[in-house]
Amino acid sequence: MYIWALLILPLFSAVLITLVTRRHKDLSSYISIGAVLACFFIVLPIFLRFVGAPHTEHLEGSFRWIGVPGMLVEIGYLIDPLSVLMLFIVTFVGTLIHIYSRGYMHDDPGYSRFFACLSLFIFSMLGIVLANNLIMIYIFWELVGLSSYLLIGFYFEKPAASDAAKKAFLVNRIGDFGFALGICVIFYASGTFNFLEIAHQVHAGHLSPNTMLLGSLLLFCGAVGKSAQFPLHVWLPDAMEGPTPVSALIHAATMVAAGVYMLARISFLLYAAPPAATTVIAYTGAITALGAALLALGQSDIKRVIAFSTLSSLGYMVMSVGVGSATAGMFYLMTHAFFKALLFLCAGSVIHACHTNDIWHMGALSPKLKITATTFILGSLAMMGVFPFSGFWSKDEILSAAFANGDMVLYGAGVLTAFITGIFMTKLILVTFFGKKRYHGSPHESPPSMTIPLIILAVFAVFVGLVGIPSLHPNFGSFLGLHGAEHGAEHGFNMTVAISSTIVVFAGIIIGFLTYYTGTIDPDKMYKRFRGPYRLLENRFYIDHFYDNFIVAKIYNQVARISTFIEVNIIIHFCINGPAYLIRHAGLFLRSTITGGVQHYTFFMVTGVVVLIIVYALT
Amino acid sequence: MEMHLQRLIPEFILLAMALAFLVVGFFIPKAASNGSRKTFGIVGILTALVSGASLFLPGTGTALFGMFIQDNVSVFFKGLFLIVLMFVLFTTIKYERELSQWKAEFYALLLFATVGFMFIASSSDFVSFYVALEFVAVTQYVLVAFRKETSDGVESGLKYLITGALSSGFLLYGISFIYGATGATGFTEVAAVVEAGSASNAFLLIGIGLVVIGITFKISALPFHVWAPDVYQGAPTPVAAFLAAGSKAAGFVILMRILFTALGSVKTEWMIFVAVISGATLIFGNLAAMPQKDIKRLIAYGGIGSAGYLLMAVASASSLGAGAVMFYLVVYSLSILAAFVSIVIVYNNEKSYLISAYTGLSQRSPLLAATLFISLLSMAGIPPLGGFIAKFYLIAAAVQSGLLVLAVIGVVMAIVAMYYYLLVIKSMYLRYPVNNEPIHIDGATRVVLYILNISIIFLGMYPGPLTDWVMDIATVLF
Repeated sequence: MYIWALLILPLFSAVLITLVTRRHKDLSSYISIGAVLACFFIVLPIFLRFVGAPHTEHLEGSFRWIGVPGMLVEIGYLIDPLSVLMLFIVTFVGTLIHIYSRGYMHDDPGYSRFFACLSLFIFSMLGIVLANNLIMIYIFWELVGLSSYLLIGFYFEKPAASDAAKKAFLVNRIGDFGFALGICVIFYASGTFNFLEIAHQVHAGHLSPNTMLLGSLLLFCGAVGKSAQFPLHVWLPDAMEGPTPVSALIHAATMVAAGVYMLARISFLLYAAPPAATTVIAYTGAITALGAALLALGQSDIKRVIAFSTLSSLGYMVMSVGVGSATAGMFYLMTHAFFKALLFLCAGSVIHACHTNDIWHMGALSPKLKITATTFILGSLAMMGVFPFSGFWSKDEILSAAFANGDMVLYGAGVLTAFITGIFMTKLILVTFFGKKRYHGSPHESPPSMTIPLIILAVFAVFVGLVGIPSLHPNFGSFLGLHGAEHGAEHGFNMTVAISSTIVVFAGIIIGFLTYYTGTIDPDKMYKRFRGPYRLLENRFYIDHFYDNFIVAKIYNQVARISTFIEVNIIIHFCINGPAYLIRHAGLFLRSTITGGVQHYTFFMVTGVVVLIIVYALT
Repeated sequence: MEMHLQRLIPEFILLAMALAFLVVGFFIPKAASNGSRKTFGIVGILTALVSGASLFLPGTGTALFGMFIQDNVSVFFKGLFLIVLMFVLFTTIKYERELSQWKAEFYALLLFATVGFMFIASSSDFVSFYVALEFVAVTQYVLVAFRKETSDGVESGLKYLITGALSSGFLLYGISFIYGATGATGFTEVAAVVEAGSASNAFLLIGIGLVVIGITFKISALPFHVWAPDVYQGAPTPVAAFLAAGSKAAGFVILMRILFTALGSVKTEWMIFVAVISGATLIFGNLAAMPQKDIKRLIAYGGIGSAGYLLMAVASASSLGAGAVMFYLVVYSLSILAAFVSIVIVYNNEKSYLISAYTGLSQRSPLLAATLFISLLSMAGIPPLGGFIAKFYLIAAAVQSGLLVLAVIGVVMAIVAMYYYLLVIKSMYLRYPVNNEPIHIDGATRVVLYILNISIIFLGMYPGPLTDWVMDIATVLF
C-alpha cells in the first residue's frame, strides 16, 4: 500500500502549495522538497532489496478504474527491477534538483509556483514509472507533457519561453497521437492494457507479427516525441528557455528518459515483433545521435551545447534498444541521468555567476568557481566516456551491442558520435573555464545548496558506471533481468570496441585541445582550408535552410496553398461551418419550440405522443 | 402480506418533522421568521440524516400489503434523495431575500416531496406508484409557484401544473391498459402474467408505451420536456435543483422497476422505443442548450440531454445499464447541486442568472469558479471527473446491448455538450470581470463546496467501490 504514497505525496504537495501555502515561499519549497525526499526514502529500501536479491518477485498492485465487460482499465503499479531502477533515479536526482532549486530560484517572484510545478512533474513522472498498464502510462505521459509545458514556459512573460513551451507541447502531441493509436492496436489485438498480460500473450504467440510490428512502431512514436528523436527532436533545444534546474530535471533524468523507459517496458513486444521494428528504432537513434553531436559543435550557448549533447545521448539509448539491448539503453540512461543532471546544474551555476549563457563571454572561470569547474570537468569526462568514468562503461555496452548486432553502419555512427562528443565537450570546458578572461563583473561560487548537489552528483557520475562492469557478477544486466527479451545480450566485454572507442575519444579531446587551448589548430585557418565542410557545419547541414527554403518555401507553401483552398472551401465552409450552421440553427429552431405559451407546449406534447406511438407501432 | 410498518420508519421520521414544521410555522411571528430560517434548515438537514441512518434499520421486505417494497434499490435511491434534500435545504438557507415569507411551509414542502420520492422508490405496485407520484406532483406544483408575488413564479407554476396534469393523464391511461391486459397492478404479479404470455399483447404494448411517455415528464425527456427550461428559470433556485436532481432520480427508479422488473420479459418490445426517445432527447437537449444565455435554462437543457443519456442505459435493458443509471444519477446529482449552490451565491451578489454575470468569476471568487468548472465539466463528461466514468458506463451499456447508433449519437452529443459548458467556463476564466469586487463566501458554504467538489473528483478517480455497489444493487431489478 505504501507504494501509493509515491503518487499521493507529490500530488498533495502540488495541491497544497497551489491552494494554501503559495504566499509562503520557504514553506512551499520545504513541502515540495519534503515530498520528493519522502518518495526517495520510500524507494530506497525497495531498491536495496532488489539490489540484494535481483530475482525478487514482481510486486503488482492495482485497483480497477473503469471496468465494463470486455474492458478493464486499472490504475496500478508494477514494481520490478526496471521500475525500481527508474524510481531510484527519478527520486534521487529529483531530490537533488529540488534542493538546488532552492538556491537557484531564490529571488524569483514565481518561487512557490515553481515548486508546485516541480511537484506536479514528479507526480506525473512517477506515474509513468509505476504504471502497470498502457492506459495509465498514457495518462501520466500526458500529465508529464502538461507539467513540462508549465515548467518550460515558467518565464511565460518572455515570448521565447512561452513559444518554446508551446512547441514542446505540440511536438509531443504528434508523437502521442501515434502512441494512442498504438495502445488501441495492442488492446484490439490482446484485449488487455496490462503489461504482464500483454507480455504473456506475446510469448504465447497470440499476436500476429503484423500487429506487433504496427503496435511497436506506433508506440515508438510516443518515444520519438518524448525522447526527442529525429524528426521530432526540434522541441528540446528550444526548451532550454526554462529555468536551468528544469532543464536538468526534464532533459537529463526524467521526461526525455521516459521514452526510453517506455521502450524498455515494452521491449518484450519490440523483440518479438518482426526485425523491421527494431531496425527503424536503431536507425532513428543513430541518426539522432550523430546529427545532434554535429550540431552541438556549432553552438556557443552553454545550455544549448548540453541540450544537443542530450539529444545525442538519447539517440544512443534508442539505438541501443534498437540493436537489441534494452539493458544497455537503461544502463546508459542511468549514468546519463547523473552526468547530464550534473552538467546542467553546473551550467546553471555558471550562468548564476556570470548572468550570461554565451561561452564566449566566460573563460578563465576555473579559479573563481572551483567546485563548479571541477564537477563540470568530471561530468564532461563521464559524458565523453573516458575510462574509468561512468559514461565509459555505459557507452561501451551500447557500442558492444551494436558491434555484436553486426550492423557496422550503426556501430560506425556510434563511434563517430563518440569522437565528435570528445571535441565539443573539450571545447566547452576549455572555453568556459580556461583560456583568456572574457567575463564581466566578479563571478563568485554559488551557495552550498547549489554546490552540494553538484558534488553528490559528481560522485555518482564518476563511479556509478562500475556497477555495469561486465565481468562482475551480479552486475547491472543481471539485476535488470531483461535478458529473456533480447538477442545481443551475451556479448560481454569487447576489448576491440573498448580500445577503439577510447582512441577516438582521445582523438576528439586532442583536436579540441589543439583548437581551443593551444591554438595549434587555428580555427580561422581551418575555416579557410575546409571552407566547404565548415560552412556545412556552421549552417547545421543546411537542414534549417532546407526546412526554410525548400520544404517551407517550395513544398510547404505549395501544399499550403492547396490545403488552404481545401481547408477554407471544403473543410471550413462545408464540413465545419456547414454543420455548425445547421446545428446552431437546429438549436435555435428547437429552442423556438419553447415559446413560453402553454398551449404550444401541450400541442407539442400531444403531437410528440402521437408521433412516438406511431414509431412504437412501427417497431 | 402484512402492514410491516417498521419498514416505513425513514419515511415516518421525515413526515413527522414536515408536519411539525407546519405546526411550528403557525406560531412564529413574522418578525422572527427571518431568524428562524436557518434553524428550520438545520433541523431539516439533521432530520434527513436521522432518516438516512434509519434506512439501515428495517431490513428488506414488503410492507403495506405488498404495495411497498424495501430492497437495496429503494435504500440506494432513498439515500440519494436524502443527500439531495440536505444540500437543497442548505441552498435554501443561502437563497435569501427571494422568499419573503412562508418559510416554514417551504421547508415542510421540501420534506413532503422527499417523502413522496421515497415512496416512489419503494413502490411495487402501479397504484401505490401513482399515488406517490401525485403526492410529489402536488407538493412540487406549490414549490415551483412559491414566489407567487412574481409573475414568472406563478407562470412557471401554472405551466408545470398543466403539463404535469397532461402527462399524468397519459400515465394513468397507460396503467389502465396494463391492468386491462394483465389483470394485475403489482409489479411482480404483472411480471408473472407477462412472462406466462397470457397477457393481451396489443393492450399491453399500448400500456407500456403510454406509461413510458407519462414518466418522461418526471425525467424531462421528450416529449414531456418542454416545461423544464421555463420552470427551472421561474421556480425558486433550490426548487430547480430539487427538480433537477430529485425528480429525475425518482423518475428513473420507477421507470427501471416497471420496465426491468415488471416488463423485463418483453424487453424486445420496448427497447427500440426507449432508444428512440433517448436519441431524440439527446439531440434536442444538447442542441437547444447551445443558444442559451441564462445559466438556469442552460442547465435545464443540459438536464434534458442527461435524461437522454440515462434513457440510453435504460434502453440497453441490462444490469450494466441499471448500474450505470444509478452511478450517473449520483454523479449528476452532486454536479447539479454544486452548480446550483454556486448559482445561488452568484445570484446573491449579482442579482442575475445570465451567463454574462459569470464573466471573470475566477478573479472574483476562485472557489466558485472552480466549483462551476468541476461541476460543468463533470456533466460534460471530462476525465478524471465522475461524469466521465458515468457517461462511459452508460455508453458501454448501450454498446453491450447492440445499440450502436444510439451510442454514436451519445458520443457526438457529448462533444456538443462540451461546447456549451466550455462557453461558460471560458467566460469565467478567460474574460475580465466588469465588476472586480470579490465575492464573499462564508465558511459553511466553503465546506459544502469542498465536499461536493472532492466527491465529484473522487468518484472520477476511484469509482470502484460505488461501481461495485450499484452493479450489485442492479441485479435486484432483474
